[in-house]
Amino acid sequence: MLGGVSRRWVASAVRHAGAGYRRILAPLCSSTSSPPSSPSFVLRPPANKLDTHGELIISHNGIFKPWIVANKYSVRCMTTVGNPEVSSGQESSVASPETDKPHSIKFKRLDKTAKHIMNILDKEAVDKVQDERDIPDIRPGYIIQLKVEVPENKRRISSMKGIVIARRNAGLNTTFRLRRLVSGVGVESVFPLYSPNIKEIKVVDKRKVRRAKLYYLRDRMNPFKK
Amino acid sequence: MSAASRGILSHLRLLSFSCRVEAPHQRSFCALPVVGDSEIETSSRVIEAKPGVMTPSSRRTGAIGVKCGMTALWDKWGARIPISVLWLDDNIVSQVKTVEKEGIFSLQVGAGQKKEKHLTKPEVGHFRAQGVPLKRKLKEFPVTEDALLPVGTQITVRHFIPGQYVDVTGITRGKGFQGGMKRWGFAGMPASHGASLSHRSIGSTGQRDAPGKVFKGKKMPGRMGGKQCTVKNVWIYKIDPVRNLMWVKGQVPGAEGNFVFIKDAVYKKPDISLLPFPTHFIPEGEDTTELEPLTVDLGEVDPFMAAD
Repeated sequence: MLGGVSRRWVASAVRHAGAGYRRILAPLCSSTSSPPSSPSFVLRPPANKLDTHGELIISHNGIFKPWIVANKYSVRCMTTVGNPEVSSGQESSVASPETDKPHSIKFKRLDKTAKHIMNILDKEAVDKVQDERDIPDIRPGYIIQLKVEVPENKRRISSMKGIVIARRNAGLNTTFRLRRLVSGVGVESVFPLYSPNIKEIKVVDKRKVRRAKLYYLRDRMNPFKK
Repeated sequence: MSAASRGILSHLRLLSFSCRVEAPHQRSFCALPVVGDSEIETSSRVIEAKPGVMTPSSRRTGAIGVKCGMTALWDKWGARIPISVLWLDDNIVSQVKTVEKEGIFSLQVGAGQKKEKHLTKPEVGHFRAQGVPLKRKLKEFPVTEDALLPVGTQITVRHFIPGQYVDVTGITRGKGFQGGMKRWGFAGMPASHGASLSHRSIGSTGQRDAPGKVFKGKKMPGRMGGKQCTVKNVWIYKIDPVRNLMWVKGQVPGAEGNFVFIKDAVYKKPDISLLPFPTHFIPEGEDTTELEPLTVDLGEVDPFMAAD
């Protein structure tokens, strides 16, 4: 009895080693038929977005777009790896044994899988923040007006204006460096771009600059004069 | 000549003696388990996958996670939390050990998947004997008798609840040969005041003639890291049942992609009335692809305003 079960597992694993392509298509159909009901969960985007996405795929039908879909699905793949038997019960198109073998997240090396998962999560988090709040594009050389809530200081809102002298791109952890003059002393502060404590960012002026890091402004007295 | 013969004789006597001693032992050894086995099969410990009631003394099984990496999130009050992401990759119970058979109540949990060609024959044989799919990593978790689960039970991330504390065990990153300051936190020696060539050295290693030796276990420079380490009382911030991901606060041992073992915390014990016991069973007909991520309830009092 036990031996029989195990043989089934092994055999199915071998049989469905190349069934990845089918799996990519199947959940696409299922997801368009029943749009996910999670506004907060960005990986499965809101219904209207999903529809447009679906149209895009159909209209283009090239190499690149389906790859995106595969990438999107990869995360749900990750889940089906987690529970192959349940998914078999839910999605009729996906049989249980084939879910555990082919999945498009990187699989061979676990550190790459881990990295891949982190990339997906990071992207999700950034998309979520961008959906919720309108964050302008901030580049070095922009003069911006900030309204920052300081939770440690009884949630008072402080306002500051200065020039962006650097931007460090790191997904959700993207930061920019603001330089301003406070009573004649140059002050630099680093803010996470996607922090919920930044209540408002207004671009006042855009200076034309020729480099990415404007650290040379530290040597000048007034950052607003070049 | 005579000495040699005596030696052989004594050997022979020893052999015969040991044989005589061993024989009844073996017989008894053989006999007992046979009786025990038949008893088990007749009385048959039936392990059912049904929710039970957790007592303060019961111990649940743990799970095998993969450390995915670290990030930082903002909670709903705007405080930044350092986060490690753990992924419970297809955890199932791969073997049940009972007192009657193995002398211990424990559950062997397997994670991930592997192809047959990548496993040794004995490993494949083990998986076949248990009737479970081939697994990448196995780990045994001692449990109490009431927390036993049948073979093949899935352990999802909902085994844990957000807000509970867990202990996370893993192999730390290897750091190579390190000095006493980094390895043991020694203070080092002065930077000036005539110190020469010994700013980061460990200093004295003992006394004078009285012991006349360096005591065993003296903390000295040497290989650091690459050892098993348990981080206790790791707070679970968020779980994602769909993808079996878990966000915990702070660091856990190991590099990205390493396996870590997650158990209920020993010190900061979780509330037993809230925990799914023996594990969380996926209800029939539940669409697991539509579940929302569960974040810990941080309460309604703003911690920044309440500080005054």
